[in-house]
Amino acid sequence: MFLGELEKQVLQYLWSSPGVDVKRVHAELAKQRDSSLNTVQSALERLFKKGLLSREKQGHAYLYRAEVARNDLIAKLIDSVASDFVSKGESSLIAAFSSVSTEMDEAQLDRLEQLIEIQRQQLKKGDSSAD
Amino acid sequence: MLISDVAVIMNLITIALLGFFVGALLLTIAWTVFGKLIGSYSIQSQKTLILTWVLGPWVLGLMTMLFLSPLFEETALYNWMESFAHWHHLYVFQLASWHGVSVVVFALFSLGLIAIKGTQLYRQSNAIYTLKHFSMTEDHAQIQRGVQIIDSDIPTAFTSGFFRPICYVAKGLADKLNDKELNIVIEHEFAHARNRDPLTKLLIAFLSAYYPKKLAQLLNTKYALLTEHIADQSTVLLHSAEDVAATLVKVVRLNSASPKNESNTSLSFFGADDISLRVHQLLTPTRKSMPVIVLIAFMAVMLCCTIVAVDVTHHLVESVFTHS
Ligand SMILES: [Zn+2]
Ligand SMILES: [Zn+2]
Repeated sequence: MFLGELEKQVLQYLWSSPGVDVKRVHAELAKQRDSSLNTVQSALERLFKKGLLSREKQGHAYLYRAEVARNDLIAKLIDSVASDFVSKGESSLIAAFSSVSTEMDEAQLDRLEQLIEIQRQQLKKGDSSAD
Repeated sequence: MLISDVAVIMNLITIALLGFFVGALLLTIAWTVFGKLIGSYSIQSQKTLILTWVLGPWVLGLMTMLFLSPLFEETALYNWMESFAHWHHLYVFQLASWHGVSVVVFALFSLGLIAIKGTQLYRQSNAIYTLKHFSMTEDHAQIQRGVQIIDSDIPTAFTSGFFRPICYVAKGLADKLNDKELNIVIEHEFAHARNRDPLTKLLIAFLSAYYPKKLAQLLNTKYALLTEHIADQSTVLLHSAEDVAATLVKVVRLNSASPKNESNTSLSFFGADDISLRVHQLLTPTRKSMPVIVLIAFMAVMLCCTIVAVDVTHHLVESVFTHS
């Protein structure tokens, strides 16, 4: 998913104030950058086509709101960053600390924890007998 | 038909290619025999072995080219070589032959590969850029340590970037760990950044893409797992192996507890038993080391086989399709 600079700013603004028309967006963004009403309009159009915005007609203008929640978009982006270079599900270029192992069930995790605990106990015993 | 220095160069490229593919084939066969034994060696030895396999075809191809090149033409080595392997048309190259075709196919495949990986790279760097825009917090304490905090409740931590890798920790993970656990996670990510794992993984993905797909994926997953083992090892310098292992299990639990939306799934690029492999490696590390001399001997044998096989293939094919 590619987002241009203006699109990012539009999206950011719509998260904080949903249900506004292009003029409001333009007026708000004018504080940070100078872009014409037309450019803002086409940015909104692009975001709408990408499915990131929804809109409803009110009078002559469309009112826009973000279709994707901020958290979901971030999740998606993290996912793209983690997207792999070999083939789906094989290996990823980012080096995550650990991953969601869907096949890893509670019982398996419990067993691993037991294993760690046993080793801890053994080390303690070893230490005290060395004294 | 080319008869000139260009012909020599084209022939050398062809020899390297043929050596490359024969080498890849031999190493693929060797993997089916020795691949299973690799797991019992120490992490460092395993890494050397994986690199041997990934770089093997390239090295074998280039060495074959070197040995059959006119570089040693007047020497005893060449005369001795010629008794069992030679390239019978070093100064003549026909473009419209299987040699010409193989060079073109290889070039096209490489270009396609570069295009595909390039697009992925571009997408990824754009995603990280957008992510920065939306979710980086101004947590100065962490930034000073060299960690970027992502304002997201996904319990994740990762390192991204090829030349200046940066470690990212999401709030969703940082908030649920105590100081010691968070330190373990951060040290693990720092190790990835120091080792430039994102870059090495990219190179391995590139170089192994010429193998049969199944072996390529296997090599990549193995290599990815090794980078995890190595990053785990470097946290053990300051923490106990048990604490690191326990943190690992805790993070996995946090991951599986977090609401699963579909976009979360590709973070599960480890196989099911990889976490358990990492825990076992932490608790009882494998220490058997592979002597370098064994690897060199292995590669020398591979090289002899490759040179002979290149010669045999060349003659065999051209007893059917003569081209010069
Ligand atoms: Zn890692
Ligand atoms: Zn030939």
